[in-house]
Amino acid sequence: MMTNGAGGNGRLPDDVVLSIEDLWIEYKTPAGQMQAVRGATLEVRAGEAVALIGESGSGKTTLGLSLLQLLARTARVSRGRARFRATDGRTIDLFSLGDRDLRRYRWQECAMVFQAALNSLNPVLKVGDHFVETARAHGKKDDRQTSERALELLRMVQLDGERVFDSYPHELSGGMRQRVSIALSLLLEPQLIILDEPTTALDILTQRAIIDVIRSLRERLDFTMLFISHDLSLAAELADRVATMYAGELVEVGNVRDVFYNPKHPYTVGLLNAVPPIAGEEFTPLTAIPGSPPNLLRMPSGCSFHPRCPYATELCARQEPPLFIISNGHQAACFHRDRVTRRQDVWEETPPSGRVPAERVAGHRREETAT
Amino acid sequence: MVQTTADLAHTLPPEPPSTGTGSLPSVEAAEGHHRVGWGRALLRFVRRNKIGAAAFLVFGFFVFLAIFGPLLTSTEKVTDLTQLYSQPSRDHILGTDYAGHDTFTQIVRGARSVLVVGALAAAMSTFFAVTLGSISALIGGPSDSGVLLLTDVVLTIPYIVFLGVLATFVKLDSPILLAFIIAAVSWPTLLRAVRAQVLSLKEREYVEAARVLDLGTPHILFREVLPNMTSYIVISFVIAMTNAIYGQIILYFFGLVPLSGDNWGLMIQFAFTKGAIYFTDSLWYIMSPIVAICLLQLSLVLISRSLEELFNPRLREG
Amino acid sequence: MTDPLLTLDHVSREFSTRRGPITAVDDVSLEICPGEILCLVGESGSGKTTVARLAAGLLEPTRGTIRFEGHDLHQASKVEFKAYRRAVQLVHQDPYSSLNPVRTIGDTLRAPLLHHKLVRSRREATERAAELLTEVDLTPPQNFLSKYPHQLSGGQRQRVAVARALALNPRLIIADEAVSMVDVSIRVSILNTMLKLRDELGVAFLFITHDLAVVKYFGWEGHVGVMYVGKLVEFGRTPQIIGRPLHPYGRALAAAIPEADPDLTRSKDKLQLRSLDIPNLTALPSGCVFHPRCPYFVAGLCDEVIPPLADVGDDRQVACHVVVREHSAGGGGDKDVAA
Repeated sequence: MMTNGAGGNGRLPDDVVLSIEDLWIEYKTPAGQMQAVRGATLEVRAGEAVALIGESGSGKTTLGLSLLQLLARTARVSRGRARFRATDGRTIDLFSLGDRDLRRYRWQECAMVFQAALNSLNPVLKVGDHFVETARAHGKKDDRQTSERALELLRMVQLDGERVFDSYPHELSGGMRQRVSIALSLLLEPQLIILDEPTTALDILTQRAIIDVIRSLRERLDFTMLFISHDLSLAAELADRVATMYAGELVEVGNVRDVFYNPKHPYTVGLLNAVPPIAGEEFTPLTAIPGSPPNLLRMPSGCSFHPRCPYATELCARQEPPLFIISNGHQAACFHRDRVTRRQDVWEETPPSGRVPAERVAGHRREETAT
Repeated sequence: MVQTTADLAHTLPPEPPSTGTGSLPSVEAAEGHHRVGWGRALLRFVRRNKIGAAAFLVFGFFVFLAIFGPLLTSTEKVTDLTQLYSQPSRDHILGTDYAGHDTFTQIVRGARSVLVVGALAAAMSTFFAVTLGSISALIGGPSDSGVLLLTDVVLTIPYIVFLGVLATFVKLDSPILLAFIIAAVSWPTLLRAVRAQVLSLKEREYVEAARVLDLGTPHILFREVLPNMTSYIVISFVIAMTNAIYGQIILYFFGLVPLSGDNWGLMIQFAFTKGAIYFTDSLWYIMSPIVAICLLQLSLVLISRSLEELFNPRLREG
Repeated sequence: MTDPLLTLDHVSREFSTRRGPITAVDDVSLEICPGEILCLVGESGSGKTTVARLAAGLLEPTRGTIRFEGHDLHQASKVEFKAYRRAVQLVHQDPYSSLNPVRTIGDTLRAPLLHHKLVRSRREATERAAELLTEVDLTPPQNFLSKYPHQLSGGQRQRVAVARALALNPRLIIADEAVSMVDVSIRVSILNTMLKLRDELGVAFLFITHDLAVVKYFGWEGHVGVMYVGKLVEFGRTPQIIGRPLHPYGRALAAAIPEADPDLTRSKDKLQLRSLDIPNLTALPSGCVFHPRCPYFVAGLCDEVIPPLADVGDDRQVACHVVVREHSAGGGGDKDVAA
């Protein structure tokens, strides 16, 4: 939803914490400049949980990292801006922060939780030391106070505070380390937390624990959250609003029920159709999205999704669709959004590479109850 | 094997994982890419790797000297006692030595001996280390332990002392023999390194797949493992060569090798024994072989640093 | 029912590590018949990958026997073992390391064909390789034969891995998390390709995964076994086991998985476990390994006696004292969480 506050005078409206406007990020590669993020525009309001969903090559991680200026040296923001409303009310332009301001911004205003598989915890420091060092780096020298707050946070993420505080990272399981990372991100009470693939590479039961922890934290602490994932079901669990990304572009944005129950971009539909519900004893036929993600150095003309899209027409190959407004807060970048539904038969008409034989589909259809 | 966001710091995009954080492209299969040939790859290498290219040129220059040097200069060493340790002049570009011989001529002629012995020794030790090391690693078991034991024993033999003792029994006048001696003491370190590499490659999934496909140990060695070590082997060879060159110099310096022929090591030896180190006039005579050796070694080291790119098929792609 | 292709008969596998011996697989028995689909599902540490490697002949069992077409695999003659190698193939999880990076796709596919003399010339090998690529829906094959793995996407590489497994005309393909590292939207089409291979070529599949959704789609017509810390805790036909698991671990898993449906997932009943701690593999709990976390826990029984995998009717087996008791005490029906 575009509010008018993101205008010329540079001040963000009171309820918007982060405003990304027409952001373009490119990477320098031996084969040329590669646009990883193309014209992303997104607003995150205070207290919201926004999910950024996309697969590999979608640009979601690049976008997330850019918000903390954590991009590699070969990447640069070529266009657009990101503005952040700090706790003191000032509006900060994220990409023109100087070193000192950046340090203050990072972790105090905006913190990040990295993917579980990464060793984002220093193996030679105890967990407690991580908290103390982080606090000190931001000018909070009262170690006792930091320790108390750390224990409190560790308890909030369902960990045995004292024991974990004194442990080394390798003494903890993956799930526990992830929870420590989450607690650490909350240390300085930032407004915005960005989580990058918070549940990937974790076991099912551990994932569930993390999801529940995040949910309970949000209820207690009321921070704003942006999480990045390839897992739609994570969005279904935690998000208030969902944005799907494909080949560097935001293709659909809306509140979680709109996107899941009334998707209007074929890619979103494709993603939804590829994941069956576990609950229930009926068979759910799945459909594949034909083809593969585009080479970001040689993008298709017009709509980047059109070569794989069952709704594609000549128009789609010629022009790039902008984000059209579907309803209040719901947008999709598709010329044929009015025709898009969750029905699967549309996908089966286009020849994908690899398909379920018609008889199998028919057979299973007989078994299932009405979709 | 999940990609880390930290990997984005590399200049070259690493492969994106499909479950998540990579935001870098995969190649569209429907478009036919044809493989970039060697010629184009070479040009690209030169452009991107100016230091490596320069190093190749310098090394090439020494090779040129080695091949043509002795042909273009006269064999006779002209003794001119009026020109002992003279300064560089039009007749003697680098001055003269303790007996008035032209330094420059000696440098030019010495290249051959240094390079031939160096390359030969490196080739012998690399070949031996790679063969024994990789087979031992692949087969494993008691034979592998046996090889390791042998390696460790040879590794503990004091190199110089051994050579000194050997020199009293054997007349080390042929370059091949000299190369062999040097190779005989330098293979252990190389073997351990190669063995470690092969052990790690052995665990790769494509090697496991070859086992499940029952393709046999010879296939696994020559088609799966060694081709993935080409750059490693070549670089090992280059480094072995630098070690062999030092080895020669040491042998000459300690007088363990007959003092005839032209060799930079010999020049250094004479500089030492003939008292050149006590005069300032003889600076050119002392420094010429030293600088030549350093230049040669430097070019070899820089070459080894930039060789990997040439061998990696990933980097040949446009 | 025809004779089974591959049988694991009370197979166990121990590893000695620095911290002590670990039993990765404990007394597992499985049978795969021709053309069948058998899925093994479990989290990390469940031993499912070790089972895959045992079935692929990459590991020997420390106890029990593995039989291929009735013959003990590790007592087999060279000829019998060779026949086994041709009939049972493996597809790895990681498409980025299962193909040799310095060999072209063509070379990788030709190698087994030429080595086992399934073709008479290199040209024939190339033709057959093209056929294999078409089988796994990589068309046109010419586009792929001369490429190197890094020029292909993850999904395409995985298809090449399947093509390679097909080269020797196997009767069983063991897929170890074969689609876990592939994008979700591509996953379905690769699963469809494998289903097609089963339908057209009669290849059986032993599919190892941690993802219940994949089991539900791929293994719908077959069987599934749930593994926990090296043991099979539940086994039966997929629709029943996934749709209505009886073992508390299976129930916990099914309940814990987030669904791609906000209303459904936010109102889903989660099965509360007594503890979040994962068992220490070098110091396993006594009796039933699941007992410290199990909501059905009965003191004196579950922490002392190891529950065997027992029949509870309807082609289903469960290793749980409480569930088995419930079922023999008269009929099915879900067990509610006991105090």
